[in-house]
Amino acid sequence: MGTILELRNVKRYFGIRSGGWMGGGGEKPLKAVDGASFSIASGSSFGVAGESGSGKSTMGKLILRLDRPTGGAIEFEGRDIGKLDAEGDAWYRTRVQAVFQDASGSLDPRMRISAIVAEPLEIHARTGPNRLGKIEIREKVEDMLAQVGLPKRVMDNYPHELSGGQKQRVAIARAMILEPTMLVLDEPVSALDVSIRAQVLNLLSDFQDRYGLTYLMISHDLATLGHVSSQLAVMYLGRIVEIGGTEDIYARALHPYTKALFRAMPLPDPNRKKSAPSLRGEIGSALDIPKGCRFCPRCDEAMPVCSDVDPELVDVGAGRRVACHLMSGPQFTKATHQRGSSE
Amino acid sequence: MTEHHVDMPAETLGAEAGLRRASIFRTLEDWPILPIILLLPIILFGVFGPLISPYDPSAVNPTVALRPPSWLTGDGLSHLFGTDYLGRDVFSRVIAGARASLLVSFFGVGIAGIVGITIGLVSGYFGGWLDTVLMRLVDIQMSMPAILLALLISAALGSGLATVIAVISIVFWTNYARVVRAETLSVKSRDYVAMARVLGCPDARLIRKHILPNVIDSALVVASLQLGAAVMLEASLSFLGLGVQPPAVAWGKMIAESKLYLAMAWWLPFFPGVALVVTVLGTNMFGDWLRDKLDPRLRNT
Amino acid sequence: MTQASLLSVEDLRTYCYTRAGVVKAVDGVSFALERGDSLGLVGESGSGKSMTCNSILRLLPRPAARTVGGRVLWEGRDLLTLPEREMRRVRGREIGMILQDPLMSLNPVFTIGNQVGEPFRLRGAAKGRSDLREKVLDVLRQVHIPSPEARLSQYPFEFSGGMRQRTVAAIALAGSPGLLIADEPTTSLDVTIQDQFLRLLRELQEKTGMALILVTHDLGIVAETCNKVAVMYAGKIVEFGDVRQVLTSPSHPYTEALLKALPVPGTRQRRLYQIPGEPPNLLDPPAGCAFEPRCHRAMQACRNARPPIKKLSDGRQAACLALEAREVR
Repeated sequence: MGTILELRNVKRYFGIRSGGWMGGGGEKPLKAVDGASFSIASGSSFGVAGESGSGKSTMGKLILRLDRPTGGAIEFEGRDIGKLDAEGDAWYRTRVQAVFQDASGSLDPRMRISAIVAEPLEIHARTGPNRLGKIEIREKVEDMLAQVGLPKRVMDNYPHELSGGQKQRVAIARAMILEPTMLVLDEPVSALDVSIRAQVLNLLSDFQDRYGLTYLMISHDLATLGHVSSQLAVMYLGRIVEIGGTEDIYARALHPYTKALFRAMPLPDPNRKKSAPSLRGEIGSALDIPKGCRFCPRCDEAMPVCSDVDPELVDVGAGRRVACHLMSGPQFTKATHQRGSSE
Repeated sequence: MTEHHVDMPAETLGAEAGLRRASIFRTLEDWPILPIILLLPIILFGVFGPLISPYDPSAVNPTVALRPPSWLTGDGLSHLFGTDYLGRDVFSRVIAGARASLLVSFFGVGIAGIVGITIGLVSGYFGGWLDTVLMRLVDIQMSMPAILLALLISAALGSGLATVIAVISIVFWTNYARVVRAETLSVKSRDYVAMARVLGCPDARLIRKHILPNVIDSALVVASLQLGAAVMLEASLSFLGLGVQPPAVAWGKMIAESKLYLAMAWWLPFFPGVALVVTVLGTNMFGDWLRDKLDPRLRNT
Repeated sequence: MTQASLLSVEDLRTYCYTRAGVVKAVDGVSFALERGDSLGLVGESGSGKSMTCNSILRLLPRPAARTVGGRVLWEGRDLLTLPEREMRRVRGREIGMILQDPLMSLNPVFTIGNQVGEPFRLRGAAKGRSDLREKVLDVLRQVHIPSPEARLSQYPFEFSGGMRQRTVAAIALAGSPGLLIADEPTTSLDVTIQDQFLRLLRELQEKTGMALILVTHDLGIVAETCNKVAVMYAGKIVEFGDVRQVLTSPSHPYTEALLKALPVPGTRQRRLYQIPGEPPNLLDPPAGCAFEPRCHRAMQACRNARPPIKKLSDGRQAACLALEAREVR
């Protein structure tokens, strides 16, 4: 399996004016994504976990080309998506599609379901050598709706006439109709009821089996990510703090933040003993990232170095990388040593 | 426990009666009956004016000057709305005024709408320096009194129907631009717009298919309010002598001319005033109906 | 009934009158709570869980929704027939409430100190400004707001989501209520903040002995916070009992299916168990059991009769004909 998507040190800083009315201060960037690197194997499922403010949604936007990175590069099927011309953009749009959390928000309220699902074809397949006629488009739409398990009669409905689960099926049908190779799923089931959630997750896994799709799923819900993804990245304040095989991470989380997330995850098991509080304090501001490790102010296992030196994401074996001083003994001594000599 | 259930059937009945009442409202919602009743005579006057009119609206006849409505004095149907100080038939003049008022308001509001909506969409969608420039233009425009503008324009173009339309378009486009821009900004941030961009939707199609249909409601509300305001502005311009010129007739002009005779001839301002109120009310109600009709979420299914 | 419960809801019925017809949002709900109990009210959207809470406090959107039957006995008094004046005393002072979105529950133009002080001022519970200040600081400390003295003069927008929800809790606690109703209090919070807040609720309960009704769609939250659970479906409680019992060996097919449909962390099964179909349209509910069309244990009889909720041999209650049949066998 080859690599389909690769991120190399991707950054997204937002320029925010600070310093107050007295002037001075100057630009202090909001570091929404601060150097993300990973690659996704073709046909696999990659999960990105994090709380609000972790930068996971911004990263999704960068990959969907809804926003441009301020640093680094994103490569899809070997092409740098930052350097696409108009034709390249059209190509990218037919290869990568998305499903968002809020199905009611992502469907145009003024359009009928048939028009919503047909729109990608109207944009991409009305011209050029493979152009489709009205009847062919309608047939494709009907076929796609059947594949996502919706009856033909919903075609003439408007989004508000459907239930939440049905709307999310429509969103999936629209994403799938151009036969893309990758889907970006941003919290695709978190707004759905439990009994509908399983239906939609199963539908997604059926599509993956049938078409060999690659999934990038962004979520705050570790249980769902654990079910869907084979690789997992945990983000905190714009950084990936732990990345590796999902099953390995579930079996033994290494970063204190990942451990805390697992502790905080509510499980329907009344016999589970709740240990110490999962985490103190709250996620900081991406505007004011602490010196040293950005998780340090909330970390139970913090050491003196942690407030001084920003840990790098280092390989700890078995394809796992962790950004924590606890994991990187030699590096950390080297870092403090260099620091000490420079002062 | 049973005693609490006793009032149950009554509750259900009440709800059913409510539903039946709702079905009458539903007919009213399906067809704009009330606005049609109000606007139909005005539109007929405007289109077929000369055919309906019992007299030549500018025919002077001093022998019958300042007669009250004929049905009040037992003179039958000779002068339904009375006559003015020159003996002209007020009914015929109200009919003749409909044409000027309708032309002025529909064209004025229409041109203002097209200009304002386009500028609002462009400004809100593309943002940046273009937005800044366009919105400063709106601010400048809005800080100028309408009457002052009218004076300037009529000084340049001379007074008449075209001037009034020009004044109305120039005064009113800013309202559309502001409202549509604000709505565009809010619609632009919705997920379905982001989705359309993920689909590779070009800007023009995105604005036409996804933004315009979702902001047109607010523009229509502005338009329905402005139709009324345009008739009023036409009236004030005519009142100042900047509006349509004789022999053309306009309601505002009629009201203006009646100011000397207010004490003895109430019918002079009354009937053109009623025509004005009916037009404004009718267009406002039609605007409300249209807005509900265009929104699939408010449509009955 | 041997002894009067702290709260006893009996056959509560709340209907919504919509243009399309009558929706039986709460359709004969009964349960009882004792001091120190914490009840998890679980269900999907539209199951009637929030409507049940709003009916108890008589906070229904009138005239669209009305309670048409049943009793809500609070310390022996029926809240449904209480005059509005006395009801106002009950709300806030005897029964506190926390809603889902803390930003909506706080007034953006008043300071935190002002808003937390409001219940004390309304009751005339504070003697003078310094006493009021002490009392406000005291509740803020109870909900673990860091450096409360500095926070008094801040506004809601200066607080993070978790701190806002703590402030709402502080306001609810200011009246030292005997019961706290929390309607999806952590839905807008991140997992780690949710964990902190649920811990806070448990701690406050242990300290004051108040009862808690926690409305949620998340069985995990119930498992961690509650000792009793009521599972609602289509306006009815379908299973009620001890959390340990219900979550480890569910008896109603709906509870069973809900638990099976959850992904189990760490085990990557390819497909999840899925409940077919969607919840019924309450404007036109099935004639028999509301869950019958989706039920894997449905029998012929389920299609015709609505099962009443019955006590099972192990003490819990469930509304299921298939289950009754098995119990008899």
